Amino acid sequence: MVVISPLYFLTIYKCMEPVNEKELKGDYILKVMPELTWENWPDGSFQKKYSEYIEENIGLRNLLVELRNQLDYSLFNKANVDGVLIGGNGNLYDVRYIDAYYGDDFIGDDLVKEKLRKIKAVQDTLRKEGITFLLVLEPSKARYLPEHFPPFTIRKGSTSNYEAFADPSIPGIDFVDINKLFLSLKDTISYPLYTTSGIHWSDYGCAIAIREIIKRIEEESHSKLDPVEWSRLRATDFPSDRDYDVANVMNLLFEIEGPKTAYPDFVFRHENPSQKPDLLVLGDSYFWNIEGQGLFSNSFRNTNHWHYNKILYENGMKSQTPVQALDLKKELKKHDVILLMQTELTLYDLGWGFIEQVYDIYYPEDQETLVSYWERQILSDREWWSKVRKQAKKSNTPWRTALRNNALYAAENLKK
Amino acid sequence: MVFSSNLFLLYFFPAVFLLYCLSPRSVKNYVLLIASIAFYSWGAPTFICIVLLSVFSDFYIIGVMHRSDGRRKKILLLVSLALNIGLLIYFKYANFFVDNVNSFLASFTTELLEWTKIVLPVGISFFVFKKLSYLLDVYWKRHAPFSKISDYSLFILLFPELVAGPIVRFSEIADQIIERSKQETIDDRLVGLFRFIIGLSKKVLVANVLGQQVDKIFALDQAELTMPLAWIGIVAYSFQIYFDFSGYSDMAIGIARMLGFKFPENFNNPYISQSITEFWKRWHITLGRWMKDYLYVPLGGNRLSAKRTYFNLFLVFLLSGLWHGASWTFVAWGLFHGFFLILDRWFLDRFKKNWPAAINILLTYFTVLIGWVLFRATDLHQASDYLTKMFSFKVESSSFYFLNDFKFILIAVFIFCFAAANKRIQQFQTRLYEPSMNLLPLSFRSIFALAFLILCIGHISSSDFNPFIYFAF
Repeated sequence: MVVISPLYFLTIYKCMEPVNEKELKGDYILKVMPELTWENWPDGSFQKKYSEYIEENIGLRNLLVELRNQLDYSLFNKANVDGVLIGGNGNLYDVRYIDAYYGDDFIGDDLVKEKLRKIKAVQDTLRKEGITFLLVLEPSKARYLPEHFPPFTIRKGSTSNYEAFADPSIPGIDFVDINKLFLSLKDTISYPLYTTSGIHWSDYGCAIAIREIIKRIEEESHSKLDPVEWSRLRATDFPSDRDYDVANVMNLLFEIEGPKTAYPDFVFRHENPSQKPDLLVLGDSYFWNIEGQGLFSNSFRNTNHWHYNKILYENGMKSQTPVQALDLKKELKKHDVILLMQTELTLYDLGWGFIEQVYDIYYPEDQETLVSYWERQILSDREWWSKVRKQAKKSNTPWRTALRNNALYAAENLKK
Repeated sequence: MVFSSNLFLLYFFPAVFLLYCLSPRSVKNYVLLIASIAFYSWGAPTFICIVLLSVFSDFYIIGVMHRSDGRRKKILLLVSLALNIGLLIYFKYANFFVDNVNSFLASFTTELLEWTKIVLPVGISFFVFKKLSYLLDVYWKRHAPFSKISDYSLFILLFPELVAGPIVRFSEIADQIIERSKQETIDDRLVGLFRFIIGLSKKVLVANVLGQQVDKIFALDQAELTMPLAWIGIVAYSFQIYFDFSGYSDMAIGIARMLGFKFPENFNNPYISQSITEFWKRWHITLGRWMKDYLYVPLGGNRLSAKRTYFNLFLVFLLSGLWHGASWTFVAWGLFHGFFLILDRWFLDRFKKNWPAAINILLTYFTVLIGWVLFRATDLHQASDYLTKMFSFKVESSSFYFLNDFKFILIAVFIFCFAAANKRIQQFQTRLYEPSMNLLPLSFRSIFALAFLILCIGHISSSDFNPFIYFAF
């Protein structure tokens, strides 16, 4: 009966719940107990949802998940998180960054040229309006640490989007290349700019990057900003949650050890806030590290964040507004500095439509055609784009042609 | 409801088992019957009425048939056969028939047959075969029919083997339905539990892990599929299907043993077979026996001419293929095996008799692998493409990668399955399934069983858990 007891024990434990279980980490949707109706029983949907709810709500479930994950990690060097691979020296990678590094998602020279042309036009136009618009190429762990790639991912690559955008053929585009900065510091820096257990820049790496970005903003805007400074670096064996983001989501029983990380003790003056400029950041998840450390708070009066050009976060994520609902021209004028910060992972859709939207305002005679609009929609949808590429490979067509054909079809048959 | 779900493992089965153990003997069958009806209703709520109606009508028809003689008896046999086979044909094969007619018509006209697709009731192939077994065993007077409809209903609907077998024949379980108290010992329950956990581990820790990569390989385009990948995929599939199916059978046999029933074995190390004939004595044994006893032997078996024997084999395997599913790939798979069985009879068995066992095992496994391509492919076109790739003899590079757990499990099961050719390993396997009175082996078994049970529940609980670092990454 000792052997059969777990079958009863877990259920009894769940009913009594003597101890609050540690929550699993990461963002996920909790299953809800479904309501039984006359419709959802016969069609089987109640049973499906109920079973899913039960899977998630057994006694000691979180501990069992951690146990399973720990065994897979310890015995098989496997991370039970979609797309996460374990490389050399225990470095965790998101496989999509590796694919981007090898140029799997390269959008082609002509689309890159067209994008850069529009960026330059937008930058020049906004500059005339007194707005500094700067493109920031955020770093990528794959580009920073390719030597630790899992061996089975190493292959011959081709031109990547990063290489194409970082080496613009149109001169005069203002951009900051943090990849280049990080690689220049790699051999001399004492503390990691990327932790082994994180997928984003480390707190320290982020601080160094923002310090550089502030300097560039000063150069472009011919103004003086309060800098990002720190009095000292605190070295520790215990990384912050931000520096342990992927490892957290792996939900292991035991912490993964890694090299010491460093955390700056910032010196923020917060003087004369009314004289400081207002900042708009179009960014991705790399922004959360900046926000978490308050790195723009010293240099700018207000910082608004348009996440993936989809959601405006204000007051530290307390309020959310769809960007679509905003008056774009009015919003642009509210800010003195606009940063477009994007990492290599999503450079196939540089700007998330922002460049085109602003360009269309100031150059209405040269508006994006419907076909170009749909090409961009296809490129911004990973699954759709992957299908188009597979289709092209199967029919032995250049993928650019397949992209154009699909965009033409969409333009004729789908609503914008 | 599947056995490898927390709902079954931690709620349904413990509740049913507790209730069963606490019930007086006179009530135990009713407890199981209600549980079985609830089990089926959960998974197929719209079909339970059809199933119960079919069970009730069969009980009365067969009861009358048993009391009849001569022509009347034969007519009632035919009526029951028609009802059962008709049920199977309608629910399982009507869609297939209409799709093929429409494919044919599409070559000539745009006017196709209008048809609302019928949903397949889960387990229909299994319970129709059980009903046919009851019908024919009663007709041939191998066993008297049940006097109570509840006993007959329990025989048909008994939940451990309702949806995926093993196919238990009436004559081998009838007495157990009536009386099985001598098989409800602590030893039986323990052996049953160990067997169940072994089956659960096979399914969750082996088959599901292999299946994840097999699905990815079979989903690749022809351009992305390479020869090495194709071979790895089909080898992995051969173990996935074996551990999945035998795991489920182990679970069914284990649960049944805990409830006092002794079910027949369904698998016996099939990949150490030295011929396709032997393979079918080791793979899905209960299906093979059913086909032999209720189809092959009544058709004449091998008692008539060689040509008639070959025809009987051809027909049995055509129907075996179709029984697995309404698709040309299953038909092709059945015929593929039938072809080799005929070859065995004709000359192949005698020809290979003196060959080393290792060669015969490898050749048989290779033949079975080709068959699995037909079984796994979604259609004949995919099967053809896959086989072409397997024999392309081109070593191309691929960005497809395998994680360590897949590699470890694939190698481990490969060794496990072929090591069973050694008699000592087979003896060890047999001892594993027998009760043990000694404290030490019992303790070891208990510890391992507990560990594997916890691992399996952990796997099941985390299979759908896929958190993001940030939702809007």
